[in-house]
Parts: sequence; C-alpha cells; structure tokens
Amino acid sequence: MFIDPHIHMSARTTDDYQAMAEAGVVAVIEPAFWLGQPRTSVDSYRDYLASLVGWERFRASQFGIKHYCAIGLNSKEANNEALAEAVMAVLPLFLAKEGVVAVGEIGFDEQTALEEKYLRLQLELAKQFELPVMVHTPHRDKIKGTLLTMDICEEHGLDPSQVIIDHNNETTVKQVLERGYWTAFTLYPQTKMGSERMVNIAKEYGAERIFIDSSADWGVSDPMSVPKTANLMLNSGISKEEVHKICYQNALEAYCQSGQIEESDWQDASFDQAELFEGNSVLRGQKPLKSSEA
Amino acid sequence: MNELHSQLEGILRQTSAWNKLRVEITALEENFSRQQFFYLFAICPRWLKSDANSVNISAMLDSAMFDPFGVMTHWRATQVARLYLLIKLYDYSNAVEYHHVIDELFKTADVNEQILLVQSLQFIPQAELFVERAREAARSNIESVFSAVAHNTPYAKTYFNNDGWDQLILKAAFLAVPIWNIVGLKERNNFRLVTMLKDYVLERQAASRSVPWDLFCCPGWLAQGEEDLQFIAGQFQRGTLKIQQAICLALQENAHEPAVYLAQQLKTQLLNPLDSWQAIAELED
Repeated sequence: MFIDPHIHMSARTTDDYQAMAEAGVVAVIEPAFWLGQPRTSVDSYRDYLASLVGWERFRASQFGIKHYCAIGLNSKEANNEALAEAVMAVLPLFLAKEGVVAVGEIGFDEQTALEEKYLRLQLELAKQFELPVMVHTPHRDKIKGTLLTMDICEEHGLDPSQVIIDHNNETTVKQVLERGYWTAFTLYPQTKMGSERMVNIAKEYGAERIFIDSSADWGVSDPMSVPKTANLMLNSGISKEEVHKICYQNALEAYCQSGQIEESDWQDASFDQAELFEGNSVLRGQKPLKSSEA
Repeated sequence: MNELHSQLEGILRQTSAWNKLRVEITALEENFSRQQFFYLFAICPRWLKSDANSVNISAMLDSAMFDPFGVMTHWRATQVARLYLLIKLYDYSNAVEYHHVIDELFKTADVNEQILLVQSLQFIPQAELFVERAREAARSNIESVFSAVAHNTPYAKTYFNNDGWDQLILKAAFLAVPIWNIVGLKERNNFRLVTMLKDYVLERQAASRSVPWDLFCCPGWLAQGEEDLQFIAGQFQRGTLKIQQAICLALQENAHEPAVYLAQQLKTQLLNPLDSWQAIAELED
C-alpha cells in the first residue's frame, strides 16, 4: 500500500487513477496550487477549492482511491494582493470541511514581502483550525527560503511536528530533519529529486520523519513515482519496513493530526463504480470495475 | 417550522456536542457573522463524529408530520445539526442575508454538504429561492447528489418548471437511477417528456444498450393514438420481463380505453402480471 501525499490529480486523467490503484496507491493528498497560469478572480479560485473537496474527491473514489486535500493560497498568487485578500476571506469556508488534512501548499516562491505576509496569516489559520501545514519550499534560492520558512513557523508557535516541509533535496534535508520537521521529497522524472537520488538519501538518513510524493501535475511528471521509487528502494537493499514508512506510514502519521484521514478510511471501504456513479462523464460506457475485481 | 425546529433541537440535545453547539448558536444570535456561520456549518461532522451512530433520529422525530418521505430517518446527527442551523439562520438574519449565505454554502459545498443542502430544501423556509441550485443538482453526474433532488422529496414537483422537470426525468433515465418513485412523476407527466423518452429509447437501442425498465411508465400512461400504442406494443415484444410488466401496468393506469384494452391483451403473455410499481421494482432483472 502506498500514499501519494502530494499530487495534483485535477490535472491528471482517469488512466492515472487506474494505474495508481493497480500499483497499490490507496490514498492521495491534493494541495491547492496554481494552475500553470494565474487566476484573475476569487471566483475561479473558489471554484477550484470547491472542486478539491467535491468533484475530484468523488472522481478518485470511483477508482478505489481516497482523495484528501490541503487548502491554501499558494505563494505565486500571494503576489497579487487584491486576489490574495479575497482568497484569504474564503479559505475559512473550506478549512473545516471533511477530507481537508492541512493548510497548503503554502510558503515561498520569490520570497517577497507579500508571500511572507500571507504565509504568516495562513499559519495562524492552521492554528485556528488545528490543521498541519504543508510547506512548498522555493525552487530558487531554496536553502535560504527553507530556513526562513522554518523560522517563521516557529515564530508563530507551530511545533515542527505539525509542519511538513516539502520539495526537499540533498542541500536541505539535514537541517529540516534536525529541526524536527516532517521532511518530504518530491520525485520528478527530470527535475528536482529523482528516484536514484532518493534512494541515496534514504540510505544516508533512514526513514524517520521522511516521506516521498510525486507532486504530479499538468507538467512533465509521473503519478507513479511513489510506487516506482518504493520498488527501487527495495531493490537497492532498503528494508521493507523503512520503505513502508517512507511511502505510506510517515505521511499518514503527519496528516492524521488533522483528524481527517485514518487508515480505516480505505481499509473498510469498498467501492463500486456502478453503484456510486453511472459514469456518463468518467466511465463513458466501459464496464464498471468493482473493488473485488481491482 | 417552529415545531420541526423544536424536534431537531430535541435530537441534538442528546448529542455530546450540544453544549458546544448551543454556545456558538447563542453567540450567532447575539452577533451574527457570516464567517462564523460558515465555520459552524462546516465543523459539524467533526463535532458530532462521536454521535454518528448513537442518536436514534427515527425514534425522536414525528416522521408522519415532518418527514413524510423518510429522508431524515437515514440521517445522522451531523445532518440534523446542519438543518437546524439553516432554520436558525432564517430566524436571525434578514431575507437577503439568508439567501446569500445559503447560496454561498452551495457554492463551496463538498459532496456531503451538497446532498444535505438539496435534501433540506423540502424543510427550510423560502425554499423557492433555491430552484436554480436544485436544478444544478439535477444536472449532477454524482448520483447521490442527483438523487437528493430526484428522490424522497416533493421539491422538484413543486418548484421545477416544465423544462426543469422534463430534464430531471430524462437525466434519471440517463443515470439509470429509479424513475418510478420520483415524487410527482404521474402528475407532471406530459407529451413533450414522453417524446424525449421515446427518442432516448431509440437512441439506446440503436447502440445496443439497455433501457431502464421504469422509463416506460411515462409513455404508457399517456399512450393514446395508434402510433403510440404500436410503439408501446413493439417495446413490449423486445423488452425484458420488467419492461413488459411496466408497460402492462402503465397502460392499465392509462385513462384511454384502447390503452387499457392493449394492456389486457399484453397481460395474457405474462405468467404473473404485477399490479404495483414497487413489486415490479423488486423483480430480478
């Protein structure tokens, strides 16, 4: 069993859901992010958030995958102050909903003053709604941005155990782990972290508070990277227990602090596409798949 | 409405979250804030999680008076609390605010909230304000959301215009959910709808796909001329046992003599003609 704790399924096809389910992915967490181009109004942002707690959750259920989400204002769009203010006003409508396991993904992109302002405001929301925080660390000037994010989290009184620092690499892992944060790695086929590099990190740092995700989205990315990397780890001599922690257990422990995700969600659930959904948009006439056949 | 409100409150008083709920509701009554209302509406499942199975709603609710279609008997404490909040909202906000807040709830609803909001339309004040929201539910491909407006509620029968009604029934056929028990099906049956359903039958059959058995009640009830009766008789010959039973019963319930006569003829081909829709629904396919 695997969890992909950071994946943008709204941008993926039903083929991906099917392949992930076949590979053993039982749950996904979809953080709110930008869409590849900026949104120009709070209405489109609200509809996007509504789709994360509504349609996408339902779409995933037809393939036997439990869908959870993180709700937040991302760092790129935090730089549009008018939009950001309006989005901040609607976030409380979503943060208490079923299946919302974190505030996220939030953090820095260019590390501007506006990004910092809305990061701080959202950390306060996380405290108010008693939710963990999923942090997006910047792709440029990463070390400085990662350290700054952790400093700010601590300034706002968040315990490191409540915060997941994502998109780590060899340059950030040591300090993030040492400061007690959940340390997540995004595995991209060409950029950021690759599976082989992840194997080396796991060998060096072990499995404590470390987990991986695909962050697959509308760009070149691989929704199968969690199961693929798990196999590579096993073939590289990393123990089954450690792989289980990195690819399943640690993410579950981090996000179950929200009270919105637990193992019984997928262990007890069966699914039946024919019963749940006749499938005019998703199934389009193919034979419904029952959980016993999956 | 006050009576229903009291009954809901009686149920909620049995929950472990009641004290917390009561404090929040009192605060809202004294100083209403949209944000706080939205928070309270959203947080209900978390607060009432431990009461999910412990509250016996059926035993505490006068169903005959307040829930004639039995919707609430399938609810848990979370849904009761949310309906209670919606009714409360009407008391402590003005008409514009009431409309705006519920509209916003629809816009930001997760699936369970969508179902609850649509099911609640038969219980809340000024339900006619939300016809377009109910129409959206009737367009949903999420079966449980669609069913919230199609089944166990008189809302669509009462408030949908003809376009909305016809599309609701056609969509039920499209989703292959039960048609026969949609409230108001016979009263609001009409010739345009029958034409749409007949076209749908032909389209499905052209693609060698199955046709819902209970779709045939609508054309059966209104069959009048020779062409209608020929269509129905043709469908009887190619139909499944359930379709044959549905056609016979619909024709029998038709007010026109030639239709009733056809029903008598077709019934002779059935070993055990059934005389209720429920009985046909319970037949194996």
